[in-house]
Amino acid sequence: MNLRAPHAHEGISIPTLMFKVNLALMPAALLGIVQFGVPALFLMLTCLGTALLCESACHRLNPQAAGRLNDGSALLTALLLAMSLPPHAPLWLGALGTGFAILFGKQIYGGLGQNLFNPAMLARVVLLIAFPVEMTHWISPSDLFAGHWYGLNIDGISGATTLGLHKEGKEQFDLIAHLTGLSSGSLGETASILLVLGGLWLMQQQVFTWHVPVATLVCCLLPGSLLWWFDASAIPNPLAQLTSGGLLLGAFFIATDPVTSPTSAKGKLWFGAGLGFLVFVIRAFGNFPEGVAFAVLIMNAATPLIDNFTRQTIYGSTVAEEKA
Amino acid sequence: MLKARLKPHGGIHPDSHKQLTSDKPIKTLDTPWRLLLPLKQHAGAPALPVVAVGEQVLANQLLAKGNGRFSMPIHSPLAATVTAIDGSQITLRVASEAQRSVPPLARDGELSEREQMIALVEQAGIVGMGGAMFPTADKLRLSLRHSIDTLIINGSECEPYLTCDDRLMQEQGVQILGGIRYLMQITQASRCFIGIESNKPDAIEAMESVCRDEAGIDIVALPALYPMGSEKQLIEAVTGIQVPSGKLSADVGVLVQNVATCIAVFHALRFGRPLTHRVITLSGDALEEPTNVYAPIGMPISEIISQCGGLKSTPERIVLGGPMMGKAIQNIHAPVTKGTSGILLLTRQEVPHPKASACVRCGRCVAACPMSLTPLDLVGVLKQDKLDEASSLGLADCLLCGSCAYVCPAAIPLTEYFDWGKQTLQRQRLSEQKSNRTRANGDARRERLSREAAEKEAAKAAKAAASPRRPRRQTTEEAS
Repeated sequence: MNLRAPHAHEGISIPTLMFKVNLALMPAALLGIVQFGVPALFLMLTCLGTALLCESACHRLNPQAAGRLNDGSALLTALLLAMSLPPHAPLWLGALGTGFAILFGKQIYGGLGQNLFNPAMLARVVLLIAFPVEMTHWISPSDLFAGHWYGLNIDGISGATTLGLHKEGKEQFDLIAHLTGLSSGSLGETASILLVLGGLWLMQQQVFTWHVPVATLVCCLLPGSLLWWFDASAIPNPLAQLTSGGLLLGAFFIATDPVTSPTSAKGKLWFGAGLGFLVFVIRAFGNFPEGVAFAVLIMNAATPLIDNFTRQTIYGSTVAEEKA
Repeated sequence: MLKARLKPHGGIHPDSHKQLTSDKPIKTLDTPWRLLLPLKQHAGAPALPVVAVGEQVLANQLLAKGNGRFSMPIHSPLAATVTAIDGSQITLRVASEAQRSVPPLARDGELSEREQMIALVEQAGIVGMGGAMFPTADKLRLSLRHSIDTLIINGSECEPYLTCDDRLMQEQGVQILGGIRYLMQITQASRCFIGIESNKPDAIEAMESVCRDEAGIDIVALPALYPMGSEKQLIEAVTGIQVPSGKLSADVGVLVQNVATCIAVFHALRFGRPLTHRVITLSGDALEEPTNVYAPIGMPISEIISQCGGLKSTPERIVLGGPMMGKAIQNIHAPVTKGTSGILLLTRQEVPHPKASACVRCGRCVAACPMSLTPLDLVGVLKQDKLDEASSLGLADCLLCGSCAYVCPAAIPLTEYFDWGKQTLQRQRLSEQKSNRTRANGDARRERLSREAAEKEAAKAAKAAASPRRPRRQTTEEAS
C-alpha cells in the first residue's frame, strides 16, 4: 500500500476516461448502425471482437505490456477504426484493420501509452492504401422514417461522399442531411450533431481540454473559407467542409488522443493548428478527397518535436536568466 | 481588502472538507499525563538534551538546546518529571500538582534592538508552524543582510481539512496583529499583506476589522487554489513577482510568515514565552467530533483524540498535516510537534484507492504543476536514473506539493519519484561539497608543508650563513 502523500486523489482513472470516450461515441455509432443496417453492425462487432482478441493475445505474450485488457483502450481503438470505415466494408477488412491497429499500432511499442501514432488512423491509412476499392465503396443511408429504415439494408445503394463528389466537380450539399447523419460517408462520421454533442460532453467531463478541437477546426475552416470565397470550385463551402468527412470525428475524438498528442496547452494548440491546416491542404490540393487520417499521422510524428519546443517556462527561471 | 495581483499557474481544487471543523472554536485540552518531545522539530540537527532522567522540570523550562545550524531549542510545555531520554525524544511525566513555570525569557542587552528580538525568537525555539519547521529566527536574520520591503502573513491555509489558521484569524486576530508589528519592526518592512484564501470569508472579515486602522497592513483575498500557501505561489499572487529559481524570497525583498508563527513571535517578544503549545485541526470522518484544539507540543495523538470524543470507526490512515503533503503514520501514540498543523483520521472512503495504470501522456500533471514543470518527462528520466537531465528539467524547483499525483489518472506516484530524486540530488551535492572541501584541505596542507619546509630550509641557510664558518671547514678538512 502506498502511504506517501498526497493522501487525496481527483478520482479520475484511465478506465474511466476510456469509458467516457467510448460512451460519447456511442450515439453516433448507433445512428450509423441504424442508418446503414446490419452489415454496419456486424462490421463494428467484428472490429471490437478482434481488438479484444488481439489485445489479450498480446498481454499473454508480453506480460509486461502497459495497460490492461479491460481498460477500454483497445475497444476505443476498434470503435474509432470501425467508425472511420465505409459502412459496408467487408468483415475481413475490419478484422484485418483492427488486428493491424492493435498489434502494429499499439502493442508492438509496448502497450498503452507507448505508441507514437494513433493506432486507428494508422490502420485506416494502411487499409486505404492496400485496399482502395473496398475502402471507397460508399453507401447511401436509408431515409429515416421512410418506412424501410429498419430494413436490413444488406444491399445498400452505392453513393458518393460530398467531398468525393466535389473532387469530381459535382456539387451536392444538404446541410440538414449532414447534421443528422443522412449523408453518405464512413460508418460513424455522418451525424455531425451527435459527434459535436459527444465532444462537448467530454470537454465538460474534463476528459480533454478545448485546445486541440478548437485549434483544429479554426485552422482547417479559416483557410478553407478564404479559399472558397476566392474560388468556390476549389473546395466545397465551409459548412460542407465542417460537416462532411472526418473533420469533426477527428477533431473531437482522434486528435484528442492523449498518447499521440502534445502534453502542454501550448503544444496542443500547435498540434491542432497543424492538423487543421494539413486537413485543409489535403482536401484542397491533394489527390484524396479526404485527409484527416493522413494529417493525424503526420502531426503524431511531429508531437515529440512540438513537446520539446513548447515546454512550459519553469516558475522563476526567466527572472533568474534576466538577472544572470 | 485587496485582490490577488494574478492567479498563479496550475494548481488544483481538491475537495476542501473544511466544513468539518471550520465552525469549531479552538478547544483547550486537559493536561495529559505524559508528553513525548522529539528532539528534531526543526530543519537542522536534533537538539541536545540539557536535562537528566529523573529531573523535575518546570513549565517553559529548556529541555534541549539547539545544535548548530537550523537547530532550535525545545522547552517543556508543562511542569513534569523527565522519565526517559533516548536518541530521538525526551519523555516527560506531567506533574499532577500545581503548574509552575520558569521566569520569562529575557532580552540580551548587548545586542542591537533588532538582533535582540531575533535572538529572543531563537531562544523561544520558534519554527515555521505551517509545516516546514524552518527556524523563524534564521529566516528573520535574512532581513539583516537583505533589505525587506514586504512582509506577507500566510493565512491561505490551502490544504484540505485544515482550519486551524482560519480559527486563529477569527479568534486571535489581535495577537496576530501584535506579531505583525514585531515582525515589521524586526524586518523593517514598510508594508504587510495578510493573504487569505477567499473561501474563508469569516477570517477575512475578522482580520479586516482588526487591521482597519493600521497603516501599511492590508488583507489580500487570494483565489482558493492548492498550493496557494506555498511561499513562491503566495508571493507571486500578492506582489506579482516570481522568486528567481534557486533564490530566497528575501532576494526579492519579501519575507513570509505563517499566522500561527506570527502569534508565537508575539508571545515570545511580549511575554517571553517559548513555543510550547499550538493549535491543531483534528479532523476526518473516523472521528466522533472533529474540532480544533490547543494542545501542548509532545502530546500523544491518542490522548488528544480521547479528549475529543474518540473514534467513530477504525481509521484507514492517520495523517499528520494536511492530506496533500502530510505524513502518514502507523503509531497512534505518536506525539504532535511544532509543525503539526493537523491530525487526520481518514476512513476508507476518504482515502484514495486509484487503479494504477500506464502513463497515457494526458498532460494533466503539466497543467496542474504550480512550478510549470513537466512531471511526466521528469518521471521518465528519473526512471532511468538520469539525474542530470532531471535537474535540467527543473527537479530542484519541485515543491513536492502533490498536485501532479493528485490529478494523475494513471495513479503514478509522481511525488514519490520527485522526493527520491531531490534527496539523491541533495546527497550528491553534499558529497561533492565534502570532496571539494577535502581536496581543498589536502591542497592547503601540501601547500603549508612545502611552505614550512621552504621556511625551514631558508632558516637553516640563514643560520648557516650567520654562524662562524670555521668549525664547519674544520670538519670538512677532517673528513678529507
